[in-house]
Amino acid sequence: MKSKMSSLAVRLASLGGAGFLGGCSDAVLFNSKGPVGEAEMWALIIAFGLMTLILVPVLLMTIVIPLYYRATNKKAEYLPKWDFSLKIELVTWLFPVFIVICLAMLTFYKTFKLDPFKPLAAAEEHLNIQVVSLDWKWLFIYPEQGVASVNKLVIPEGVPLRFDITSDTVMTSFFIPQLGSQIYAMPRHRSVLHLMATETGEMRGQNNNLSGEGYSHMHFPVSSVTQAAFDDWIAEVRGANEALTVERFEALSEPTMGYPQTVFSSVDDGLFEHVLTQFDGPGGGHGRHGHGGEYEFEAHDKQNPLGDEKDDPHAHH
Amino acid sequence: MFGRLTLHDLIPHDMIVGGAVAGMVLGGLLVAGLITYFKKWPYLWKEWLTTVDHKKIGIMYVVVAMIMLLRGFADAIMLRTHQAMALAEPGIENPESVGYLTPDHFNQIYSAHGMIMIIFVAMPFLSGLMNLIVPLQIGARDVAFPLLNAVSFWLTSAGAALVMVSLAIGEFSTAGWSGYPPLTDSEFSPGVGVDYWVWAFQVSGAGTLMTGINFIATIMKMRAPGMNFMKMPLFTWNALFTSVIIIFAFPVLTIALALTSLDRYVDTHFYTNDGGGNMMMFINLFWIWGHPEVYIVILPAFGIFSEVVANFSRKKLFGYTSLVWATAAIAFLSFTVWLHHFFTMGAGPSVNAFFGIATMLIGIPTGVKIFNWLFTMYKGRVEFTVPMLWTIGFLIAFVIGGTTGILLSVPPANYVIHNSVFLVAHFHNMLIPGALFGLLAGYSYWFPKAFGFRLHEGLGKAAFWCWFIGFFVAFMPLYKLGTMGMPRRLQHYTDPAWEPYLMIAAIGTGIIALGTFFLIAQLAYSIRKREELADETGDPWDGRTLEWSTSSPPPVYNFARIPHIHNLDAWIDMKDRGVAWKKPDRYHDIVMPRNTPVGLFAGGIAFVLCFALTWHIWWLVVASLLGIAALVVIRSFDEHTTFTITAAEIEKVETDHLRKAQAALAARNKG
Repeated sequence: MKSKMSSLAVRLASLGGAGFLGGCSDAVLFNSKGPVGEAEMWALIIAFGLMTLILVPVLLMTIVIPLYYRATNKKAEYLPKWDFSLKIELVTWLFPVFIVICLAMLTFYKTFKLDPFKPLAAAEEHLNIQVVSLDWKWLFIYPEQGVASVNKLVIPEGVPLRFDITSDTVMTSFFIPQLGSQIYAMPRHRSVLHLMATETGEMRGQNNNLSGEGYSHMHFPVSSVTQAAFDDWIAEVRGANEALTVERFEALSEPTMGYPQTVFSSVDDGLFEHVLTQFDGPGGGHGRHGHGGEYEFEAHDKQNPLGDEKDDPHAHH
Repeated sequence: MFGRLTLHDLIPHDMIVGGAVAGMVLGGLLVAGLITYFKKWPYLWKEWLTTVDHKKIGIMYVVVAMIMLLRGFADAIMLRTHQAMALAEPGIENPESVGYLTPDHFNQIYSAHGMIMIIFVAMPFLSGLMNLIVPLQIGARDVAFPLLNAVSFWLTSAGAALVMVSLAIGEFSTAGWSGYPPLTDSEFSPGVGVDYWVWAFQVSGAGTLMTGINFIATIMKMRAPGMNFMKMPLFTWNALFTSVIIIFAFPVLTIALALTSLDRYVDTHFYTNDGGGNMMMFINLFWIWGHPEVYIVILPAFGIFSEVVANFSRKKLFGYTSLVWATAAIAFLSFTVWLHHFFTMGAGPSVNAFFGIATMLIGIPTGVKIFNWLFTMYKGRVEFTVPMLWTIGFLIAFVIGGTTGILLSVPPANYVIHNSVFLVAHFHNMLIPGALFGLLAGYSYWFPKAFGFRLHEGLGKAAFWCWFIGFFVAFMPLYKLGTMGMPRRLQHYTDPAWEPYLMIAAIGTGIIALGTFFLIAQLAYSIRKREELADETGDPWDGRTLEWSTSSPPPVYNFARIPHIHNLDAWIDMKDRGVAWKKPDRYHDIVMPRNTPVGLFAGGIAFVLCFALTWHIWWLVVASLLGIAALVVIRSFDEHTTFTITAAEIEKVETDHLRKAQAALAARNKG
């Protein structure tokens, strides 16, 4: 009921924007399937509403003032030397100040509330998904289920999700518009994103940041399904005939365009951490791990979870 | 011998590039042929190529900007028409084969488009107008360092030439105009494209930095007696703040790109994935330059709007002091917001909130400026001339762009619209009205000052309406597409719902193309009808500021006698006091800088240097560096850097101008 009400309100609000932000159902940002996306949409709408307080009068003044005070209208008052009015000056400074104070409060509150790193629930309630951006495809690892898929993301409805995101190649941006919040996937760096779907359905996920020749290929279907359907899918994937070993990952990370959707029945332990730390070789010295920014000065002494340190970890490019 | 350059690189890879190169070469040959046929080479050499006159350098800057605008706009047409036909039906075999551009070519085009429009259209255009007008507005005979000014111009031209050459020889960068590593590292971009991008940036950036220094010195030290800071026209104020931003921002870019090139040339690890590199460093540095850069291109346009709106409202500028302080506030705040270009990088909420709110703060002085322009028109007598139309069009479009900018500055909202075509629509909505409309307003406003005749009004209005309407048709659909989740820079897409909006956007580009055609037609027609459109008074618009007190075009020395300034609207004041168009009691000899080819040679050698660096032709790099050193040494031994114009010669020129001006004024008053 609440969501119906709010979707009606969204329609009205966006119609109020004179179609400016678009109100139809194909505007996916206004057709969110999760709490994060919905809250962000509201941030957008409230900010737009506040700005219309400035936008509308300024647009009206910009049209009315020059038309009324046109040179040919000799009836209009003409004060060629008038160049100052304290009252007007105060309004022109204080009115924008007032709007910005409102916007700043909104920003402060919403930015903390919608921090992508902030969990949506207690840690153990989350489903963990590890995301690796590759040239030019996405790898999703389900560490607790021990399975993985390429270019296809299946998520259970109503379960808070924690995505740990990194890149095996250049920087990309992981984004599911109908769930909210994109975040950059960066090599050697762990980005964390918390999302949740509250409805079932098919969505689109994509890379939003240029990553080279195959960039346009980096979109993938996202299926939000019931918990039972999700469990079925996991069981089905476990029966797949391929395992994601380190060797298989190296082959997978070769640049390709239009890589088919693929599922893996099992994943080598610590593959994600391997991707994260792969560049911290003997020559590399101090790589930065994770979001906390702790520095490992002796990365090469660290036990490699896979035990097969390669000679040239980036040779595959 | 030729580094990485082989014969293969000289052969265009596809029809489109081949056609463009052929057109470029043929056009160049045609122009060269015509100059030879009409025996204009000596004129070109003496009057233009070797000039150190700020007015002629200003005109040459604008010519470069106009040529590069055509190139950048041709890129825009290709991007929009390609995307309009780039719907890949789900499940087709090779989706990247849709449209007519390959992913590699498409990436090159938008990388070049962005860089050209900012660095080789907006920048030379504003440098050109600053050159042309600032010394005239402050009552100076030239800029502080005339030769340095010529060097700046030729370095900018060298950068523009480098980008044009990349079309014919080799390739341009495919990593976007902002060139984020590690995509720009040799590991991912082994070709010469990124090197072209780096060196074109570096060489024009060096020129821009010198322009900034030059104009700060000029405005600080060379104002006419009596012109204290608060009597400086708004355009000069904006030129000053732009110059200040330039000298703080550009060195950051130089360093950021120098580290990129070190990573590429000598395998350092500043931004690489391995070896402890950190690409986030580049992204921070790039935008520490990049956001102030937005204000570098927009502030001069704000200055132009301030001049135009007062002049064609026939009224004093409202809230002059507020406008000056608002400009100062913008200049300062422009350095405090760079992180809003990457809220999605995952900085903590405190950092994101800080930069979001800092970004909104810029809205306050910008809003003040808009209100002040509106209240300048209020109780005025508004004349809808071409410069005024550009100004009103700017106000309408810019507040919409400002609104969407505020939406982008709220981090949680940014998380869903960043890197989408909503963002593309937003910054075009700032830069097209905010910079280009202003520059075109300045172009039509000051054209009579530069050449002594006006531009045709009707064709100018046609150009305005096409640009104004075309702008909305081209970019409003992108806002909508942004809410539909469309990322920027897509070579193809699979969502059929996006297609109609991209088609509308392509139509908008067509309308803008018509506007561009009218701009060219206006120039050609006005040159043909220059007798009818001539202005002998030097003051075609009944102007307010000092540049209108000289003849059009102004004599090489600008002012026979440097005027004494009593008022912000110095020229109105002189007209009111009855001292305008009056012969002074006597004339003095004037010493002016002598023409020199040093600037041209510096630019030429810099071009060769950058080309050699791009292609790893090391002997040529060394030779160019030696050439530059030799040039500096030779110039430092040149003792004949000035020449004297005698009082008698000046009297002759001035008397002739005053006679013609008086006759024209009498005719104007009768009519």
